[in-house]
Amino acid sequence: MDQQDLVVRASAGDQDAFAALATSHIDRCYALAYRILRDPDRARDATQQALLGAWRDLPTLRDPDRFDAWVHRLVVHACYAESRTNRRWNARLRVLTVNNVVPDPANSIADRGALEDAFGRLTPEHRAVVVLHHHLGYPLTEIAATLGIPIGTARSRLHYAVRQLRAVLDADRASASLAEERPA
Amino acid sequence: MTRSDEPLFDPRIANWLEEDPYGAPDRALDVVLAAFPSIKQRRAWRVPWRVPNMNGLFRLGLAAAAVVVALAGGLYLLAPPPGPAAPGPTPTGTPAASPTPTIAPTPTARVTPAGPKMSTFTSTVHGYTIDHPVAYAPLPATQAWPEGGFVGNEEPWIDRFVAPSTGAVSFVGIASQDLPAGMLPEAWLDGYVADVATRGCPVPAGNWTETTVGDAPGRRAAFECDGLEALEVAWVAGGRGFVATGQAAVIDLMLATIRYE
Repeated sequence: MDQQDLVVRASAGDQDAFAALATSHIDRCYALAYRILRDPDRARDATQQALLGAWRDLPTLRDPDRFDAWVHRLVVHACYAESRTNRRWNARLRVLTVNNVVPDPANSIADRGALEDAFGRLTPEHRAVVVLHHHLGYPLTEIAATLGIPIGTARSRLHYAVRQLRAVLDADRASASLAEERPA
Repeated sequence: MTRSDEPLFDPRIANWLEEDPYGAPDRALDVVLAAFPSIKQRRAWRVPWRVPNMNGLFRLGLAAAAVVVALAGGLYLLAPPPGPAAPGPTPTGTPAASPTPTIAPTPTARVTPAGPKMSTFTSTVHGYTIDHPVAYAPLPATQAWPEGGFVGNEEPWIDRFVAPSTGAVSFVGIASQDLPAGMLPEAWLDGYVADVATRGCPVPAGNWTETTVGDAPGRRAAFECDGLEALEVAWVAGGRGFVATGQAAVIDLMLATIRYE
């Protein structure tokens, strides 16, 4: 059974069909959420909220072929909501866990740290367009359609975010080169 | 054009994002699979955007029907109201008939068959046994619910069911207390409704509706906490006042299985 059939069946209330869809999509949803939120617990919560929302709202999806983009949109919006919560239920602050990303030796530690810092200073809306473009490979038209925003807004958000990240990367590279050239 | 040709694409950013993890934690899927069957799907009440194969005659018929409906509506609005044929003084001082109250169906905790991923928890502090999704690990209360103590997500007098680690959205809390001697269930429920309206994540008094948990009388209210949809249920069973708070879908799933010592 292909995905379109599963979507149609799940939309009509077939729980087995939705379980299959959730199972096949959860890793991709989590990967998207993690890259936007930079926190494993929050990414998990956003993923769960998005998939539960997908089940609830699936009958409102007009075109089964758009399921992937629609779920990604739910994930992004769940990330927005998750990033705005400070995780209080009873007016008490909760300590967030430190993310445990495995570093890749291909990138310098300085680059990674600088990118992490710069990315953390972006709004969730800016992070989302960066991740959709650089991780999922979405062109601007698809980003705009997925997020339900005008293409000009998508372009300006991406332009702003990439400019911020590049500035940090370029400054980091420049200072590293300077340090190498400096006589001992 | 490939994305690497696009001016806004930077391979350094893409490579950095590639380093992040891909796989969701195992228990994330367990939570979704355990919770979604108890969530009611939203039905889409919509008509097709356009009538297929609408020919000219059909369009004309529709237009004529629209004109007839509009004329009939106008005549109805212009016509005098039905009543005595002879005009008379307008009665005054008579209260208008109040609309008949609509009795909304009483929501009841849904009974959902426990799937293979459910487990059983017995609360020694609060005296009940309940089935919970395996992904929601129980953290038993360590003390009785003190007078004036709120039910939140961290207090030691609450049995907490948390998934997969910590997080306000993925938790259910249950606590209970003895009703004071002579207090009626309705009075206890009224008091709880008033108290919880002043909590950190308050439950607005107007949100409460009547419900039952099993055969026990109670109330339930949806509320929002930091942008998250949550549910609060309060009920009285066996002379004790109970409260459940947290993730709506999981609360309904669990309360359908509660039994008391």
